[in-house]
Amino acid sequence: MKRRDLIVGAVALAASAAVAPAFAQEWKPTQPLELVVHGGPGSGNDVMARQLTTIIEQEKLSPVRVQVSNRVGGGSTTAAAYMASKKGDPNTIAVFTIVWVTDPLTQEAATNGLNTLTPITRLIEEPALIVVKADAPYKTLKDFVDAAKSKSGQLKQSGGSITSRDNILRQLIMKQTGANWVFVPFPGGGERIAAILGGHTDIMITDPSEAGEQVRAGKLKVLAQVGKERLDTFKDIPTLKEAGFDFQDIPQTRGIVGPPGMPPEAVKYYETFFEKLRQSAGWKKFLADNQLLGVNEKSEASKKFLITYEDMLRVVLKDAGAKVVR
Amino acid sequence: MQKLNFKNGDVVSGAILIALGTYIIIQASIWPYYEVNGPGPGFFPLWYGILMVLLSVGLIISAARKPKEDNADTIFTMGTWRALTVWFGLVVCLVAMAWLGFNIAFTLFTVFLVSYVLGRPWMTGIITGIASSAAFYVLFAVVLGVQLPTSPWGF
Amino acid sequence: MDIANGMLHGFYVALQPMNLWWCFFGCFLGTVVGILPGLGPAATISLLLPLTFKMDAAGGIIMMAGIYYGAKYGGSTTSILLNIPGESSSVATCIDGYQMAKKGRAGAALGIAAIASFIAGTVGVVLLTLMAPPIAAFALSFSSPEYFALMVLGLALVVLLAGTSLVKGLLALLVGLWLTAIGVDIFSAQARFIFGQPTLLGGIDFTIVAIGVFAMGEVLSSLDAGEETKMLPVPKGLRNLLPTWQDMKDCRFAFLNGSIVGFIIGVLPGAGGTIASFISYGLEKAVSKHPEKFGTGVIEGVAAPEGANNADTGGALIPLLTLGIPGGSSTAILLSALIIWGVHPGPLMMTESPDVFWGLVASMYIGNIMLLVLNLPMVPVFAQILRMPVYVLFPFIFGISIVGVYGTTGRMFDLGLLAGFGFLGYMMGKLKFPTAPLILGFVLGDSMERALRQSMMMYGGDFTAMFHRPISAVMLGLAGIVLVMPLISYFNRLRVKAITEGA
Repeated sequence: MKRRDLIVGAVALAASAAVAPAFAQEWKPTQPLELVVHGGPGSGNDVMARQLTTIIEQEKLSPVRVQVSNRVGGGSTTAAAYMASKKGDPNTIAVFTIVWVTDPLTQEAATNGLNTLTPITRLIEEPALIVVKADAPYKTLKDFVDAAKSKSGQLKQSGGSITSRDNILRQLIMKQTGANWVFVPFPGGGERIAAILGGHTDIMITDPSEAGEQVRAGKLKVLAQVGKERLDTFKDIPTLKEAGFDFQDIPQTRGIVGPPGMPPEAVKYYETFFEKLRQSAGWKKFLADNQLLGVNEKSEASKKFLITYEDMLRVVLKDAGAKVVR
Repeated sequence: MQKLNFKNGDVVSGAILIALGTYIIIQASIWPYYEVNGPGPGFFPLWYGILMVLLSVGLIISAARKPKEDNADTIFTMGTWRALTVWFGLVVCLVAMAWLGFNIAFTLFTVFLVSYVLGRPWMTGIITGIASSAAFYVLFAVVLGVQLPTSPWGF
Repeated sequence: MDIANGMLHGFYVALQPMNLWWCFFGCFLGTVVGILPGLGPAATISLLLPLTFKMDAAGGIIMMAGIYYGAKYGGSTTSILLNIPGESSSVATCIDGYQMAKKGRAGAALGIAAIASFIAGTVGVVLLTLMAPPIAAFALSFSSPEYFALMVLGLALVVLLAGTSLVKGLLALLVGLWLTAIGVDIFSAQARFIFGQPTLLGGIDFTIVAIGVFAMGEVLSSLDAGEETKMLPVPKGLRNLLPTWQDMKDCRFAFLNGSIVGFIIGVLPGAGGTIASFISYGLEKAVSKHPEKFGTGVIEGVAAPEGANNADTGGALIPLLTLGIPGGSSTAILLSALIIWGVHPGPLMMTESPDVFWGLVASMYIGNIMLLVLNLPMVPVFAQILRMPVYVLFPFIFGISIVGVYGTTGRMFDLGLLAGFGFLGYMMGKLKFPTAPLILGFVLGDSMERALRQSMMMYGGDFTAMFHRPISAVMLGLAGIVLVMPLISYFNRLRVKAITEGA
């Protein structure tokens, strides 16, 4: 008897907790927030999410605890499906990255596109460096592209999956210049760098935190950087545009997304919440440590951005030889 | 009904593996075998699919050629049914876990395993069940903070 | 700073009372998470990361690395006692370790695992101390053709793992190759064999396959055989629970083999502890005077893979610390931790952050001693687990398997897979298919396919490039020898038979 009472009580409690806040005018979380990431503990996104929660805790930004929850599987699909199942819930948010866009584009089974959820804000754009081995004969990106033209299909780039950012950039450059080189996928970041350091591949497009040390030690050199403006640490390296490669870039981006049908007052709450985060010293240090560019974009603007983003990606992925399903 | 013995076991497993190999070959032949710059997603599976079919055929042939006295052992015994009963109980327990959570489902499974299958007194089963799921809960969920399956109602 | 000065300085850092405490704490925690499946070192380090932001870099990395190599000590415990491989790198330990436990030699197996871990772990650190920069250069010379050859060599070991029927061993291997292909292919974004399940897009987690096929399969088999009436023998008296002097002598070569193989393979960013432990097991069997006894509980079969698995740590830290290249998930997260503390692992680390570099290296000598002291006394205690009556032991194994799988991935779907692989493991045992080749195929298959495709892309589709590069040619040659050996001995037996019959 007692157990049944307990169960009934628990059900009632859970139900009231889920319903009550939705009606409040100005919404504030009253139970711990769930911050969903699609990587397992220890993956890049997980580490970032845990750093985020540490900043939130240190700067006392949230009235409730923020808990990282790993929904691993099928790239981003498990996490996206989990978010879809939380329809209307104001207490669950997720960190999205570029794979949340590419997975639904290329996988029949990944049905929850980023725009079926509620984008809340974009936080980060990730700059990239185009690097070659320090003793390579190329001084500028143009040198490399010319070499690739004369030795069509013989130069090699080490990178991640074919739907990853580095291959997308390669496609864009090849399309603009008519050059052609091979893209060799490696699953681990370490293997990619090892391949270029060992002279087994010729070029690599990577994030500054990954290649920065090698550049500083004089093992790799930077031909160009990808991003709107030059990074502080690479002041004398031209951006793609300055190097004469003027095309619309598809930047690597990360942000926060809520479940479908998230109440507008909750969206509003998170917009202000992340605004406060952007102002914090901890966040600024995080961006500087990892050489990332902060983005300030609210829900509506993020939504618009993601729609054009998806359209551009669709074209590039097709060019890259991936099967686009939606 | 003919008893399933090792000779037949090899034939049955060979047949299953031929089916699996054929499935792999069919799937692999849909995907590109070779792409512009190198082997495609169908390259590797096609080859091990073929190898699987060939080896399975070999397995069946060699089983058929085995002399009779080699396969006196039967595969299905009383013990088999018991193992399969436990396995089935486990499946039920795992399905139930989505609705009842780890603690209740695992306690019930333990009672079933200890008292029904292993034939201990019901009291022993119940005590073991409650004690072991409590121990798992305390060690993993409370002390180490590892997530355990929970029911939609949060227990 | 030369090596001697560096080490002096390192010990000065590592012997600070606070750092000693962090070292102990990390090793202890590592042992605990190593013993418990479902909470690997990478996950543990990640969970602790926010707590360490306020620590200084040397103390922090000493503790985190302690978790990393401590977990490898603990990993053997459940493999030997319950046939549950806690980490992928302790699968090879299950093969002979669990058989030893069944024969009542669990204590000796656990003891030799700790001793082998200590010896090989220390050798790994010595090599890390003395040869870090040249070894790093060697690691970089490895390219996809070499990785391909290494994987082929690893897969050729199936011949040694297959047991009585080579055909069945090969078939099990092929099933492993198929299982590992499930998921999205990174070369083409093509989803393979996912049966319309989005959860399968990322592939099947190794833990599920290993725990299902090994642990669950084993419990079901013993239920089948009616073994629950007799308990596993555990000898009385401390003396009988530890390895004998004879055991140590038997393992002399295994210690050396494990140390060297583990270290060399650990250095390669694209390989890892699992491959190291399998290759070292295979090598041990190949040179053994009694190869036929492997798989029935020989002590070298435990010492070699366990040693390799631990020497691997020293090796894996070389590309991380001297090149800034992480080889696996645990080292990747150590890298992000170092960056958070403001230390930049890479070619300049040794000169820019000598405290952290040499402090870490020195702490690993101390940590390995701590781990031996921590683990050896636990051996008799753990061996008692087998004294538990079956009606406690079986639920315990089921429970720990469920928690282990769910703790790793957090998906109900994977529990279904676990039951499926349990059934597969049980049926394989029943139909006399060896299970180790399946695991081998699962571990190596994916890397082998990738390396093959990478090499062909790099050399414009030219397969012969593999034979023109010296290291890969040698390894492919070795693989060839391993594959041909059983044929030779088969014909030899035929000849002997013919001669004796003729006489």
